[in-house]
Amino acid sequence: MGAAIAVRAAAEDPRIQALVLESPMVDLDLAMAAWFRNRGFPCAHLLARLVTRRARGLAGVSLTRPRPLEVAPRVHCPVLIVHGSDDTLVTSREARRLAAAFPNPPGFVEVSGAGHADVVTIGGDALLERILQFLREAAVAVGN
Amino acid sequence: MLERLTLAILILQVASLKEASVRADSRCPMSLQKVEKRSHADQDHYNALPDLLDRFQFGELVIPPGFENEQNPEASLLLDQLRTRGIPVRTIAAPLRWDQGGARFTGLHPPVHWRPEAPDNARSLVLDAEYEGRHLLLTGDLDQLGLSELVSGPQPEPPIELMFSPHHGGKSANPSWLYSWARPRTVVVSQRPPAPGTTDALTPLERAGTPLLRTWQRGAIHIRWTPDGIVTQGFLDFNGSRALPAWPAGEGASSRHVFAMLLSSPWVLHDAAGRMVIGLAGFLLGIIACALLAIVEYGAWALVVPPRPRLATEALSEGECETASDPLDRPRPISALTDDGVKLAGTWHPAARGDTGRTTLLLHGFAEAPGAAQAQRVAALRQGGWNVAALDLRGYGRSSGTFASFGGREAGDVRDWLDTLAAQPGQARPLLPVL
Repeated sequence: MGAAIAVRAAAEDPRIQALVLESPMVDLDLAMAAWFRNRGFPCAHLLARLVTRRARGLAGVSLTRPRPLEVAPRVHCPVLIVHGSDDTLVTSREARRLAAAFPNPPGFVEVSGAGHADVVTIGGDALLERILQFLREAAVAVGN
Repeated sequence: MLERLTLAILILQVASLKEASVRADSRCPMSLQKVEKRSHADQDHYNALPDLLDRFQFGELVIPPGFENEQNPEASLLLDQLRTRGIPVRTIAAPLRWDQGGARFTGLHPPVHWRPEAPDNARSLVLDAEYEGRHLLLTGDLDQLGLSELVSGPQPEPPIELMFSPHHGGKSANPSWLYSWARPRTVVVSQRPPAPGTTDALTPLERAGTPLLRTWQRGAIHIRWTPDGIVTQGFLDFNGSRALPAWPAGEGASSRHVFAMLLSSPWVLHDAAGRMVIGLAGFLLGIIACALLAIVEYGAWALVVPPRPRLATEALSEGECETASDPLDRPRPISALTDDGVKLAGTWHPAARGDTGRTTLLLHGFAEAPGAAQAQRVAALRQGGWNVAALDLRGYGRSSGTFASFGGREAGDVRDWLDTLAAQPGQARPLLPVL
């Protein structure tokens, strides 16, 4: 969810000069469908749509639109995407679809063996160092 | 050959008349038949009789002893009507046997001079009609005393091919021992639908596999002698709403075969069973709809109402920060106010080796547990020379706000955070890593 928020914020606010997206959500409907499917529910897509629709009614604002995929083309700062190879909620294919949607091709780190929520735990210091390196380069690029 | 059987028996189940067998003469070209209508009031039976007299030419009327008496004026009226039309009326009693039209009739009940005081039902005429070795047993409204009397006689041999259940399938008229005695291959019963959820005296027989035709389910029952046996067909099975394929006329099949076909056909649902199936289907649909609603409702609430506590602010109490000697290095709470009046909370973790002017905003995930991973991120960023603003999204941790919205409102919240943090001394260039 954090990544979905960050992509939107970065598209709207030029003060954000770099983005690190960890296990980014690409499409909430797809992720919900995957969640239902992984638990053996039938008609996962229909259920997902009904849930996000109802959630929109509760929250008073759409949870799914615009999708990060649709916002990404408006993000011009450097982006690093970190993704777990075993993420069942957001598949690698989807993550790469998101990556391809940014105008500047983002860095893409795939942490093998990691799921949706344990990318940092599995990636450990090596991953964090990779992130810091990206941030340093981004900071230098903007003269900080 | 069947067409040559020019004998008809019309059984008139007239409640007040008890039992009357009317034998038609040879001018009536039809096979053995039962004329029966569903759920009749007595008066209807009586009113229909003149019609029957008009439709068929009757050769003779046979009645049991005591049929005509003072307490039964309708019976006398009927008999007078028949006599006026020149139809002979004959009183018969068991044992009496006569042949007519190639068929043999045997009166099985009541015996001569048998208990004149017994109730009308018990004195119903019981007739065995045999044709080509196959027996049809007509029982009228026989019950109780009459039944015991009947089964005290010799057991029918061979067993009865087709039997009419006595007294509309009533409990007192249909004990199991009656069927043990008669051993019918098929039973026909003229009756109204039972009260919902109840069973009747014939249910055990039906469950034991004896084909049973109920008029309330099948309508009028058509009975036909064939070389293979007596074939029975319900009017509704072929002409009613249950669209069964037509049974080829004249094709030989035993009643059992016909029944096997009827029972194996998915179209033949007993009315009660049909209602039950529909009811069950409706019930299941309701359950599924309820489950669907519950899942959708639960899922939607789980999406927008985050599990508490979820604390970026928890890091405040984490040991790695407490050890910092310089109070400036300690994490401190920060807060921001959004346009729609929601107060957001977060924690400021200063960079480890002096302020570099580089700041990161750390946004947490949807259901990610706070703790080790978050501390790992914060520590790494601080060591790398970055200030870290770990934020509680609206609805999470110490931030107020009722619903999470996956960016719908939170993107604006990030802007508010940037405004707030930019107002802090020396925070010119925030960058934003995100979880």
